[in-house]
Amino acid sequence: MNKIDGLVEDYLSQVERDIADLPGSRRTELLGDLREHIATARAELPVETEPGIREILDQLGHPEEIAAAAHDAADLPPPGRGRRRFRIGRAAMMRIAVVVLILLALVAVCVVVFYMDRSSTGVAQAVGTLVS
Amino acid sequence: MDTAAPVHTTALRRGTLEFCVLALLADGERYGLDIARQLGQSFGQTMSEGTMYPLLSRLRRAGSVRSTWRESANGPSRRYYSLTPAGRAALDQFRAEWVEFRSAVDQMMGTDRHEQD
Repeated sequence: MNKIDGLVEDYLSQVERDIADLPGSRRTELLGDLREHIATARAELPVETEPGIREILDQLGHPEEIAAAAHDAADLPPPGRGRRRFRIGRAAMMRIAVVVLILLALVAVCVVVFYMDRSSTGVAQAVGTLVS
Repeated sequence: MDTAAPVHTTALRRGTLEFCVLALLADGERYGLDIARQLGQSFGQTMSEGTMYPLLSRLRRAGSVRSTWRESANGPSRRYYSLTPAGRAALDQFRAEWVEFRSAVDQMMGTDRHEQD
């Protein structure tokens, strides 16, 4: 991938991140439209230069602005400013943390039950063993 | 262009842009970049071309425009947009309402008199 393709791909991935919460068909359509726009504008450049591509992307607008328009058109509230970029990542991390906690709790319960089953001395010893 | 941000333009454009897009399509089909460039020329640099695609998508889903892909001799296939009968009716209705609305605002603002000074 040359530097110009890299600029375009960076731009499109930033838009993609900013519309990550939109339905899949909307995301695909918008990214396809932007890709076509850029490719058509590139084909019209007499000579393909980095400043030329930058100008195409500048005129296309800031990814956040396009994402805001996409949320508008989808009748969805735009994600809050500032937390927009990492919103999905953070939500996913929270979900993973909850799942991990539940799994840990299940394992702890299994261990307690296992020791209570094996040992005739009951809960006190099971807890003692776990703690030690 | 004036360096002061046109603070009201964004809000005013929000309500009218979709009809400007319909008006651009009134004389025949156009592809995305072409529509974007035309709007950019009319509205100047305050208009980000990319914000028009979500609008076109909404107009398509609402049945005001339809789109077809066509091969291009120069570059990739292009998605051409055209007005549907419903889109044309919406445009006609907006034109009628706009004339009324514009003259009401002009009268309130005194901008109809300024023009004559």
